[in-house]
Amino acid sequence: MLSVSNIVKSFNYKKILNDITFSLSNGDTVALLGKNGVGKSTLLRIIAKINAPDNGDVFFQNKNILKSKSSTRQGIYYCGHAPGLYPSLTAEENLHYFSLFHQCNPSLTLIQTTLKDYELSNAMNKPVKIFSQGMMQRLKLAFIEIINWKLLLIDEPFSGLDISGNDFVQQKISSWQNGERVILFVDHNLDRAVDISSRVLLMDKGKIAIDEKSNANGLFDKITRLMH
Amino acid sequence: MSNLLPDKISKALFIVTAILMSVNLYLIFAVTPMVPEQHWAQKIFYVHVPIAWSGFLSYFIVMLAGIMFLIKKDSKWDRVGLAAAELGTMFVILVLITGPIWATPIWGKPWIWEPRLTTTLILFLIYVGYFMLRKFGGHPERVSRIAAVIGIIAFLDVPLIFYSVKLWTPQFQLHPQVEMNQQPDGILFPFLFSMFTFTLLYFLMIRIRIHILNFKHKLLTEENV
Amino acid sequence: MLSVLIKKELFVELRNKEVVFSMLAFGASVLLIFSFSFNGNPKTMHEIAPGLFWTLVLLSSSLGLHRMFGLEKDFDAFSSLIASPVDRSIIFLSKWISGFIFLSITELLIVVPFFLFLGLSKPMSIFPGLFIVLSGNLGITAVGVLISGLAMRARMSAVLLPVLLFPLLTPLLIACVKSTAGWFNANPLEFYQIWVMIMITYVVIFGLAGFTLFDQITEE
Repeated sequence: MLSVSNIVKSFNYKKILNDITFSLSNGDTVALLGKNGVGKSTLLRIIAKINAPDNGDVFFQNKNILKSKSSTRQGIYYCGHAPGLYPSLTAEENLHYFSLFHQCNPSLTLIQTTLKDYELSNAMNKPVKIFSQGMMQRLKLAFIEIINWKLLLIDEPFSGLDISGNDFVQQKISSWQNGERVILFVDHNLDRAVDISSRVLLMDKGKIAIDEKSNANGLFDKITRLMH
Repeated sequence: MSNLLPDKISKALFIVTAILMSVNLYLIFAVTPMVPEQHWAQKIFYVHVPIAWSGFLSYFIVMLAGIMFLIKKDSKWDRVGLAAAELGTMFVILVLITGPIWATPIWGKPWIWEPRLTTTLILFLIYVGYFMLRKFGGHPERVSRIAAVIGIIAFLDVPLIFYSVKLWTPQFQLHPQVEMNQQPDGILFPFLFSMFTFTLLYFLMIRIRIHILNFKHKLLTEENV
Repeated sequence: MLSVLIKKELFVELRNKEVVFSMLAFGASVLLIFSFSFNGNPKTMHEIAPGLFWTLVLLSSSLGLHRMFGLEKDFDAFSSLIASPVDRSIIFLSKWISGFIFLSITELLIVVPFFLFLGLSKPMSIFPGLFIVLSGNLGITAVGVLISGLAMRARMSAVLLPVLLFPLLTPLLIACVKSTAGWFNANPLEFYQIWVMIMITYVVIFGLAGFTLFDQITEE
């Protein structure tokens, strides 16, 4: 479904991503691992077409999304570090507009039940600028529930959440995966990442150093060796 | 010197330009006739016009390089654009200096809002912003694309600036009109010769500048491997 | 999609009132400075009024345009917006149109104090003036959205925006001032139609440039 080929990206003459190539197929839940500053977020943002690579292509459903019309990117949903919302609009209004941008039109009941599920019913009509970090994180995750996607790019889904929130999100991630979708997420907690994912990609020195199934033998040792 | 002239074309261009430029200077100072009312001041015209032409040619190359960079995404074109922007700005500064040198004795004051001079000044100011962006804007890779867009719209603005300033100041149509075929041969030939020589000089300079920028890019990239 | 995007722009502004309010407050203080600095006789004021008006508009619009993209940047909503499958040229159009609306509203609110404070007499007919001002606004916002969009992705955007914008706008500014003066002096249209033509050319050229080039500057 997603195929990334020969991605190169430099910052200040330093090649952060140097020839990144991999492809993901339906049903993959992929943990993207690597040290700080290795370019995980940048890679997600390149696939989401927020950052431009110096070189390379990204194919989504066999179309080169970096060189074709914006409609070929329909089905990709990016959930980044930053809130990515309009601070003065309420949770519901943000949801309304961003679903329209993604060409879906959710019913009010869907919005209401989802926000309730994410413990945000009281905050539904409040501007998101007054949200706490945890609330903001839950709201960002609620978007994933409402917007139709086939490929989810999510940067640190667990940041800013307490322990109960952690379990909640773990359970949500597995419920999002219906066998037809691809989830690519970045996480710093190795145990948890390997636990949730079906496959692991580890980036090191600008390349994909490990690309294996999460239940592969000796995977954990390999990962820890490269991460230290 | 040989480091700056990496290939045969540059070496040949250097030798030809050096010879032609010496001849050019000799022609300007010793051969061309004195224009009665302007005396020595008129001589600057053999330098001023070719420099202005080179400057605008250079800004045109910035636009072309910008378009190529946006299409090809190859940083080579970014360096061509940067080299052309630097040289263009240098030539434009010389135009803004030589213009008033000529104008002071002839018009009686150094600056008049005359279309050609004004267009040059406005372009220069746009390029001040361009270089501020290059210098302070952030990562060179991020800035390069923004710079390409500015190079394109700056040149798109040229005809509009020229035309509107021309209409704005109809009283200042004092700039010598370039109707060269009415000029005597004694002026026309050295003028065209100077145009040609300065164009060669420009191409030599931009070759050297691109070569230096490529070299710098290579060094900085290797340093970071 | 264009209408959804414009609705979003207007809705955010309705909630915040940040763009119009900052342009208005800034415009009012510039107007105050004008009133004290150019305390001339009515004839002089009448002569320089078109220039003052467009200077005022230009200064406030650079502030408003900067704020328009600042709002997108605060919570990085812009990344979410461009990551969605929406044509970036359409995003440009929505910003252009909404910027044009905000600027026109600001001018509508500032024009009465402008005439009052500078002691100007009322012009004869409204329509040519309205047309001139609206075309001027279209031109300013076309280049303005493009430049503030690209400045947003760089550091020092608050400085870069006016430094790049004002020289690029000179031909439009000249045309705006000249045609406004023509209208102000109740000249027949033939006297200044060439300037109106230049304004329209400017709007077309830079509207198209923004439409084609905006995609190139949205990505980091």
